[in-house]
Amino acid sequence: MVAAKLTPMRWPRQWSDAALLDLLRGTPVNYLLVEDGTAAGPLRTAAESLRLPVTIAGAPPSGVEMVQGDWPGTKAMAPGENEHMAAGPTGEPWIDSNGWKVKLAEALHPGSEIWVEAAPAAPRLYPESYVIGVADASAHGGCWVISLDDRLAASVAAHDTAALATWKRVATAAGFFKDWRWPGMMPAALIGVISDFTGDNEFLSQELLNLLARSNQQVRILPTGKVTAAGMAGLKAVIYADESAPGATLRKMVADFVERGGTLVAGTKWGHAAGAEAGGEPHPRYDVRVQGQGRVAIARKPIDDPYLLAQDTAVLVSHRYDLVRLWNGGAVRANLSSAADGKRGLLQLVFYANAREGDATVRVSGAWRTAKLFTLDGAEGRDVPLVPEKGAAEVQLPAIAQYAAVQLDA
Amino acid sequence: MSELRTRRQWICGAAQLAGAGVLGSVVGRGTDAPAAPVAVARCRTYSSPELLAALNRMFDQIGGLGRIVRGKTVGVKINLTGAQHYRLGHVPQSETHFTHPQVIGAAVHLMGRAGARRIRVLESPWSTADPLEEFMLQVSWEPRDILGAAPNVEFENTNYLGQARKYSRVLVPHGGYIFPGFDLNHSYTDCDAFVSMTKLKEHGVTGVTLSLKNCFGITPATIYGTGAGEDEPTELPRGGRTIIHSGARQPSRSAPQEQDLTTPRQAGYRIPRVVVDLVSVRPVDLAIVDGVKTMTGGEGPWGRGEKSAVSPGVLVAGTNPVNTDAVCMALMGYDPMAVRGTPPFETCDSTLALAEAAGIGTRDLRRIDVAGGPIREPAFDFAALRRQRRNVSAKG
Repeated sequence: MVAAKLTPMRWPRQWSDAALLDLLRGTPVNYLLVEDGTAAGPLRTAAESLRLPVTIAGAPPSGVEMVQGDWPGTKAMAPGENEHMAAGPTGEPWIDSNGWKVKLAEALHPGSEIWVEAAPAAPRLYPESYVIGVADASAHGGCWVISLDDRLAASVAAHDTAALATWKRVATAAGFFKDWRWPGMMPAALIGVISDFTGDNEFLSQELLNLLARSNQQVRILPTGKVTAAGMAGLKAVIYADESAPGATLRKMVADFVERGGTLVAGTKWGHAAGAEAGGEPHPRYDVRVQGQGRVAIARKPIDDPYLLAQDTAVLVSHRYDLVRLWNGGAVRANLSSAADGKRGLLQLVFYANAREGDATVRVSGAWRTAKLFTLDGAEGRDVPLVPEKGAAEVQLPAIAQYAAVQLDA
Repeated sequence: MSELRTRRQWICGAAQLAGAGVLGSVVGRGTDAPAAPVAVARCRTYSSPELLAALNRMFDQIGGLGRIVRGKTVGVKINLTGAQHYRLGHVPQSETHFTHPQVIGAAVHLMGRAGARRIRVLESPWSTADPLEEFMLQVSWEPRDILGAAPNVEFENTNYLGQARKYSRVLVPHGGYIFPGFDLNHSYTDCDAFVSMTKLKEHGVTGVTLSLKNCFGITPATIYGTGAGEDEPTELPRGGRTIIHSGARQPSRSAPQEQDLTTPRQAGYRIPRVVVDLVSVRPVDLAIVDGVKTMTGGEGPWGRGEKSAVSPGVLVAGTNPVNTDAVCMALMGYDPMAVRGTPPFETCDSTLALAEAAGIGTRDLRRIDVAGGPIREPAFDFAALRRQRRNVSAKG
């Protein structure tokens, strides 16, 4: 994961006066997207004097891949409504996150910067939701195109105190990711998803990514034509999510992965799997066979439910190997990465609810000895309690809003 | 400990219950309801040596484990209430609202040593058909410690059909307060002895949750859950047991339906009765209550009100669940003879009273032989904390 070189912002329609560029002074915004060319003329001139590139929205600069995202957050989330999210022995709230879209775009367009653009959407428009937008994209390796709704844009232009405070929070959050403290960290992953992610495969494969992220599984995306043995290294399992049968080369690579101890989860099109039946109770939906040191799980019926596929895969792999477990996280997404030498880890947490009750605990796989917490205010990290476990550590977090980066050291 | 009630007070209490329609048609069976010894032991930690010694002594005090489990398939219903993602603060679930795995392991070990042929650890974890082991792993338990505690130990998730071809139909001998019968996972009928192994806790609806209330969780959510099928059970469980809580809808039509749809649609009326119906169809042969560490203010971290992790340092075991729960209530500072309107049953009926009236067991401490001596004071005064919470709440 690298720091984004550019911090883009969609220039609000209401900001007709180029003098409003002053609002960008001292912020990390260094690229403007405007909605149409005619209005952009005077703005472009003024912006260029500030060495601020301007381009038409929809035509991002070379090296940038634009993702059309969702305004992130929980369903029916509005200020004051989420105090009771943890008030019941219920399942987790549904989260709209662009994290998996960023990762998919990164996998399909390696080397590109990934920008996420989403129109501000009610009822999620309140100060924290802008910060969540920035954190959601950035924590997954992308960059949020800062976009203000009409009301906020007008209020900022009018120098309304509350609006300026919101604007400052957004800029501070973007600055946190621009001044990235942890260059060179590599995403950690347990499960790989193989698909071409298009056409007939689009729904199942992309929803699978969404749902695996929902359960905070750490996933590596393996586009069908780009799968290599090295690309599967370190994974416990791969899911072959395409409807069509795999090509011979891919089949051989996956077979080798299984021989070395990996698990393949696939639909009926993968075809019959040889090998002895795996021990234990038979799986209700998969024929599980042992091949070499690994296992092949072939669905007995065509897979059409990505939720079930995500759940079944987590169990077929076993939660024993979870890289991240969270308690009291509420509406949260976790993204784990680590240094090449394995001596440092970075867990990024995005909290999507406006308000949270209870302090989260997170268990991170690895022999970590210290944990330091960083938040978007840019302050220096502070030590947080860490309880070592066998092969893992539990980190006790205080109540945190929107985002936390937990630096783990071995 | 509150003063023990006289028989006259019990009769008055029963009359009040009957007058309020609490006991229904089964009233009157309670006066000679069975009584069996209950063992109480101090146990300050979850260390294996301390647990094994305490449980071993307790099982001897209640007549020996061998007579309950020898040569038998034993079903052990543990308590893993709520979703795996909730903790009370940073405290692990096993120290607040789940039966502790060390208690499970120690009891399983002793059952194996006492000659159990097969031990099946059972629970219906929140909204999932995943193997029980996987649920345990998600709360950072090591299921192998339990599986390896004795020969032939198995797990089964009973929240759905599980490993059987069909659900087991069981009918309530006394006719049932709410349901005449249930369709359950096979594990509850395929065992020769049934153990309710739970946590010493209060409960937001039923006042307390002990070995009786633990049996609420034997119902599969595929039939009795929020997402249950209208006609047939769903393949997978979804959601909690709202059907039983609220009575807003009936279980899947394939299962026995409620007898009287005019009864109150209130959880405080319904849950205690359904629990008694369930304990009637699947009698408890051994009740084990883990009060070494637990929580106050509710059955889990969710819901309103102040909650805290506490360490009563006590284990309770008995062969009769009503007797055992009565002793537990006394150890919590509550009067087991309490009726609706009095702590901890301010807004619900007493599950113990209903179970007693159904003839399952007495809650009258005078009739229960408490091994380890009479209860002179609570192991932990839940009742005092409850009064404080309610005073603060009333002032607020």
